[in-house]
Amino acid sequence: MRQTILITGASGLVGAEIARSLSRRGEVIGLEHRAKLSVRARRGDIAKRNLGLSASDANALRAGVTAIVHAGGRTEFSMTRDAAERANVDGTANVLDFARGCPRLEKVILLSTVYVAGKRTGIIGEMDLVHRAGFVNEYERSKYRSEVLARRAMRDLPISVVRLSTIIGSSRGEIARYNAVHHALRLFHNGLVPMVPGEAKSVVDLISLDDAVSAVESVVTQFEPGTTHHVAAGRSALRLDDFLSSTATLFSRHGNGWRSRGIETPPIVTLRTFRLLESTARKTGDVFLQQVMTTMSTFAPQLSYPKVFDTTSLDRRGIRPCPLVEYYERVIRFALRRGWK
Amino acid sequence: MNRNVPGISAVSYALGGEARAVSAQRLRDFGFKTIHLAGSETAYDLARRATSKLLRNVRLDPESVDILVYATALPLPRPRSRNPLAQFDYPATRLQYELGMTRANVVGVSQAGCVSLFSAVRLARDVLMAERGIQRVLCVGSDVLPRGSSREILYNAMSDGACALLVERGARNTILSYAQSTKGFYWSARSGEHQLIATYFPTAKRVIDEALRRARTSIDEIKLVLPHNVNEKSWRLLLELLDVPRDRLFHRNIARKGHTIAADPFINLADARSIAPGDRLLLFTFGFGAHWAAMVVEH
Repeated sequence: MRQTILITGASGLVGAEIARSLSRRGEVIGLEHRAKLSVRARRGDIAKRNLGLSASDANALRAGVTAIVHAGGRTEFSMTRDAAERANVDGTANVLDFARGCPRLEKVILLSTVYVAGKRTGIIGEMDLVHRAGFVNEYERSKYRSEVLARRAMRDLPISVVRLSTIIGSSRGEIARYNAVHHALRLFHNGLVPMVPGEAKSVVDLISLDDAVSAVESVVTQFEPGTTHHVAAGRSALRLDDFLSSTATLFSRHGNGWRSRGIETPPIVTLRTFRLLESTARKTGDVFLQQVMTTMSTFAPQLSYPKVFDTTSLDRRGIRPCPLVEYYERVIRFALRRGWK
Repeated sequence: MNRNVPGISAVSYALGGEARAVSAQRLRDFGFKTIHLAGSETAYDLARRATSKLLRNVRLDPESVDILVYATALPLPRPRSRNPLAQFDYPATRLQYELGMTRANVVGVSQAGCVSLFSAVRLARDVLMAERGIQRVLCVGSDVLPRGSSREILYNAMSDGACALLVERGARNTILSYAQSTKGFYWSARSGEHQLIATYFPTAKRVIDEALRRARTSIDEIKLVLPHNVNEKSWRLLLELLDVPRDRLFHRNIARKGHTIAADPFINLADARSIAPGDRLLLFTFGFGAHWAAMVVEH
């Protein structure tokens, strides 16, 4: 039977690629409220009831949809709690409500983040969810709460959750959208990072956009309700110290005159020392310094909670994310050529 | 004490005579209470005061000084005369003459910011090790900010001061090692302030680690850190990076004396009382230009 797949967040980094990829497998309808899409679109808003659609549009859509890929929401680490709740928790609740009214629905795929694990440390299992370790930012907290809703809804809806790690670029090195990690790398390149929080065991888990999309497509096509999947580097993630020194090597190699500026690789410090740096920057009253620290502070403390994401389900499907070392140089060259824009 | 290895046998200093309470709240929050301004004294006047005191305190025959190294971070004041020969009036040779060090060869050290006196001591050590005929090197550093200058530089409260040190073989503060890093990218102190602040900490750690390695000493073996008197918050961060407890930093002169341009670590060496023979001390400073320098000394 031909699939009709509704994708929320179809103008986002991952949503857009998934929409393009799934177009080969069925009719794709993208829900958007901001941008033009490359697929058939409906103007809506997940933050509103009925996804912001008129009653007639909502009913027409519900009647035909066989699959929903919920890639919508907001991903900024610096969001306030209210903004994160509205976009990610209420958004997910509205999508699940909508899904309940779809008579032909076979599958719902919720895109989440591996960082629902928050401040947990150690091995993070794919079915692990509820914890009291706390979160580094409101984005993590809101995605956690949206997964809690989804986990509950698994009783009456066919849902699978895909948790993505941080996307650094495509395996060809292209960066379609710059995120907090790119901003931090830019600061490092510009000699503005005095230190990075972390531990000896800390790793930097990064994946390519193509691996994210392939994995999501696999979960859609070989759907198993009630499951959760990690799309992450997992055990092959680079150690933080190796990541920093590799980055410095690449900057030296490709950054015009970078080496002669004497920029040091930032040392790895305890979270306590990093917090002291934050408070000292605040006390200077220097706006620029404070902005630099804010960029780092919204996510860098996550490095102080070392963890490895179990990737059993990807392994079982024979999906192995491309190791970062194979394409990281292309990503850095792309960023440097484009001036981080 | 190793009879062949140069060390610092005496230190004397002179601060500006006008003590002034630090009023800016931010500077007080950063640990400063009092600074010392030269008033009507010039940098030469302070240098002469410090050097005379040293010669008197150790009862040193000025003619026994083989080399005088005179260090300045700031440019010499522009001479009032239009006679081009006035450009060649040097305080270093004037000091040699006026204090009777008539045998001393004179060397000037400049363009190293707050590292200038460290550079002088390094040169003294190297010359003593290289030339058997040289017994005593007197190092003098003196800087006075121009009248009317702001007394805050990058969150630090500035004092005027001079310091004189006697470096000779077999002296009690043996210089075990010296390490320095110069990053000419920061040649203009006015540009790249934020990058300089960011690079300050990791570079300081690297240079200190190098000085310790050359001295075959671990950070745990350091009894006391003798700092340049930059603000307390900056030192707190650097100590965390080095994993050194705060009670091993000689910090009380930060509040009482402020930050002289080049003399602080040696003033702190003179003032530190809790040092016993055999104790290893770490001296550290940073200078615009930019330079980071560390020295490990055994008392």
